[in-house]
Amino acid sequence: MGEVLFILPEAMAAGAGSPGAGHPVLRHPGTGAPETAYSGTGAFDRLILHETPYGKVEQRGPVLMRTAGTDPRALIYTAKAAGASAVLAAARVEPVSPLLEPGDLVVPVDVIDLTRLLPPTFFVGKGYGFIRLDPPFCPELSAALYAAGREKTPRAFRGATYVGVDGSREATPAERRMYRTWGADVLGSGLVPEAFLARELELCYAALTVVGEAQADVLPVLERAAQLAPGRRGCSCDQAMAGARAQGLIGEDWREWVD
Amino acid sequence: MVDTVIIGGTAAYHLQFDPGWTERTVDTPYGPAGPFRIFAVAGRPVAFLSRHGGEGRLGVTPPFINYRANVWAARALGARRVLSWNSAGSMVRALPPGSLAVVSDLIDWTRRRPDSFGAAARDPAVRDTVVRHPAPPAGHATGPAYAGLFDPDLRARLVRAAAACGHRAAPGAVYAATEGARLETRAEIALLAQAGAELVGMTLAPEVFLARELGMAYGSICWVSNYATGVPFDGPEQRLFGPEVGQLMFRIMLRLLEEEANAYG
Repeated sequence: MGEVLFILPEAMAAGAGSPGAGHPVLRHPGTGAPETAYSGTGAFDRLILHETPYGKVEQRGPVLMRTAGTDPRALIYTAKAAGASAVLAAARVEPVSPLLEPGDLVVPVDVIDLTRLLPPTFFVGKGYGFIRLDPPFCPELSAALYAAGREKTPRAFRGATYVGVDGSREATPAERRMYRTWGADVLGSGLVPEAFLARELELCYAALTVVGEAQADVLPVLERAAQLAPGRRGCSCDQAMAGARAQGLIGEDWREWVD
Repeated sequence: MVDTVIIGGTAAYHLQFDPGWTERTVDTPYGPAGPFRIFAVAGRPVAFLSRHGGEGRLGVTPPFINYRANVWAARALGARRVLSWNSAGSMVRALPPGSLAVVSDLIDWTRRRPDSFGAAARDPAVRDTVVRHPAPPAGHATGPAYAGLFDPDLRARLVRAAAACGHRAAPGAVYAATEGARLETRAEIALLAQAGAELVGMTLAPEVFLARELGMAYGSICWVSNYATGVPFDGPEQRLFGPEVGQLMFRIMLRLLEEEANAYG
């Protein structure tokens, strides 16, 4: 398996591995040296600033930072350009199911996309891009994330449906009730359209969501999932554009797909 | 001045046209539209547009079609109505791949498309350059006073034209328009089916709204190319987008126009 990169929201990355992480009241974002599997190697302290056609992306160790202003295309472009074959992402979510509690780990397998503002595709004005999203997340990485989540807490769940919104405002109670009738479990922003963009560039992509806690210490779970993921994956994520290739619409160099 | 504009969807880019037909590109406030192929059916001028452009292959995916330019141009050419075909995924067992359905209603689930001409459609100075209704030919359903989003008269004519071509078309189906070009997830299809949609496609909105805004009648017949995501089916998966689709749909459109000409001579 090629390299696995992680995408974390800034608040989760800031406290990754540091003392008090997972306990928001004790932790001061952005302070203290992070301690993770990369601690002592200096990897996590190394900050790389990537330039992409869609803006800058900050990388700390294996983590790409999802900030409020980061274009999702820039994140996925960076992962692809870095040679990654897989991306494990994390995001905070709000519960739609009333049975979920703060701190629960939820691995989504399906998506309802309600975003309106975020750029949803690399293939603007092209004659291709009818990518299939059944399922929208890599099933093998999702299984690894669930297994890693269960090692950490019995409150880890899989098979969830995620409602993706722009995130500029909170959902109203009536909207949450509507999402429940749609079979949704959690609601949040960040994973959509990232998951679609990753599929367009034939990356495996799966996500771990945390109910309610913006600063949860999930990097160790993602790292464990990367260890648990099969070295040779049997998923078809890396063949998402095979149809367009076979028709001669695109070549082998992904950078020419997106131009 | 043409009377009818036909907008062809899936596989329109595979059609071979009579080299004798005039090609015309129309400048609009939203950019150029076309090429429209102008030809005559029973002496009446008609224009054809491939919605996805392209020559031999799909040129532009649904979210990036310039719907406003296309519809504005159709009206500028003089059309009082638009006949359209759209391919769709099916959410119901009664419409398997390879079947036809005339659209009776629409759920617009698109997110990033301009769906109105706004002030331009209301400003008489602008509007009159495009939206002046010529006297309709004798025998036609007349004027701007068509009932509903999808003209009932055109719907009935589309069903009859399909039958005349040997195909039963369901007389009314609810179409959900998604943004695309990505295909829908299972959860999205489940909620659209729950909401009452039977077909899912990516092109009917905002095209029909824009056509109605400029006072044109609109009729759409859908080719069911596949089952939508997660809809269970037996046997091998079918995804029917080949050249024969465009030929059949174009033939149905011509048949409708010919039957009108026969009826009203």
